[in-house]
Amino acid sequence: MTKLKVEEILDGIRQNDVEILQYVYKTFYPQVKYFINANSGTEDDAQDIFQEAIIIIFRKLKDEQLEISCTFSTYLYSVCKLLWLKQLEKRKVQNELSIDKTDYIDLPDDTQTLMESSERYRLYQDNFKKLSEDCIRVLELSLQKIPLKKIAEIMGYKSEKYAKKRKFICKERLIEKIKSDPKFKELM
Amino acid sequence: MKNQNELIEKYIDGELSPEERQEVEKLIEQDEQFSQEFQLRLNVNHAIMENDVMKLRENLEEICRNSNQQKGTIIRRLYERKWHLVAASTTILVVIGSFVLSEFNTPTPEQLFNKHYKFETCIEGERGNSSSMDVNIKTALTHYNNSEFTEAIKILKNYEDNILSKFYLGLSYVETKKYSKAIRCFQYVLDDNNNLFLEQSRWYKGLCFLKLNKKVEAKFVFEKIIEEKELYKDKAAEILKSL
Repeated sequence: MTKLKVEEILDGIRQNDVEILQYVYKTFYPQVKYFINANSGTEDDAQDIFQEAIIIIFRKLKDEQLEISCTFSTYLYSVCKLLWLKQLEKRKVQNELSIDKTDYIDLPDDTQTLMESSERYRLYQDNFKKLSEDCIRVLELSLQKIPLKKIAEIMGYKSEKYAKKRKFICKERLIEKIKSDPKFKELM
Repeated sequence: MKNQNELIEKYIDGELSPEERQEVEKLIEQDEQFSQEFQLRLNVNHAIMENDVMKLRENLEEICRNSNQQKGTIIRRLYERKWHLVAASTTILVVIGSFVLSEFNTPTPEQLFNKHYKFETCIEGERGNSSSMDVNIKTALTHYNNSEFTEAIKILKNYEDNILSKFYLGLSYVETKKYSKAIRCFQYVLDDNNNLFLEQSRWYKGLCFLKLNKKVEAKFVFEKIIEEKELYKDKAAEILKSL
């Protein structure tokens, strides 16, 4: 793939375009990995930070809060750097970076808040995916505001009342899972 | 505790009387623990509605996974080259071959979407009374036919309760890869239940579920198409065989 412009990359992320995401990974991940490895992180950490940085960029695009006046790589590395510093702080590791040769920019203040809420949402979403298929569907359908009668029909439940009960049980299961996740206390 | 949770859920779902709502709002304001529980439950609802973020994370995880696998294969091949060059190559070819074959045998939901989704030209005036059609909607439909979907969306978005507009808004969202929004438009047309776009809306809704890899929901929609003996019943049956 030829070199893409910032707009093309951002558009690809906004559209969740796999080809563009692959390009972003191939082009920019090695530098992220080098940086994380040189600052007490593993390859898994590097992949995690890279993924979360793209999610942060996606969220900013979604909220129309993203204005990039530098190169995409500088922006991405700045998000990665901030995410990794937060992670080091949590792990109580000295967070002075040993390798810091790349160009960085100062991100707007709200980025930190966005990162925190994004991390919490990830915890909720990861636990949601661990629910039974039946629970996932019931919760999805109810949040799409599909009437209980219709949900009962789709799910093959005997009554609307049972669909309501099932929805409540599933939501309680999810909340329980979230609260017992070791990351929950850390993030709240 | 169960009562408190039930109360919060009912409040979020809008199932309480005005008096009960007031009571809950007072608790949110005054009781910190109650307020935290409410906030958590509300945020969880928002989080699990974020299909786009979840899908993006899945795609990114897959890209990382594939890259790790490729690295593993290269290292293995280098290691085994000296002793088992022929055997290793054969194994890799067999693995790749069977992978390719299985890919051909069972298309992914995305491949099914790509196979079946075709751009639908809007034939003005064939449905409904075109002379009474709003001039802005006409403009929007021209944009749509010219593949200027963003322009079409900008106009059609303003026609909340117009079925024709809602249907082509849905198709414009499909064209701009906003599948969840498209589903909501098609659902609106389906809920109206008294128009000429029902069969197409159901079909496109099913295709959007495929694109979002929501196989169970897609299956339900295609089963309904067959059950109702709708226009797309044969295609729906073909898709169901692969799901």
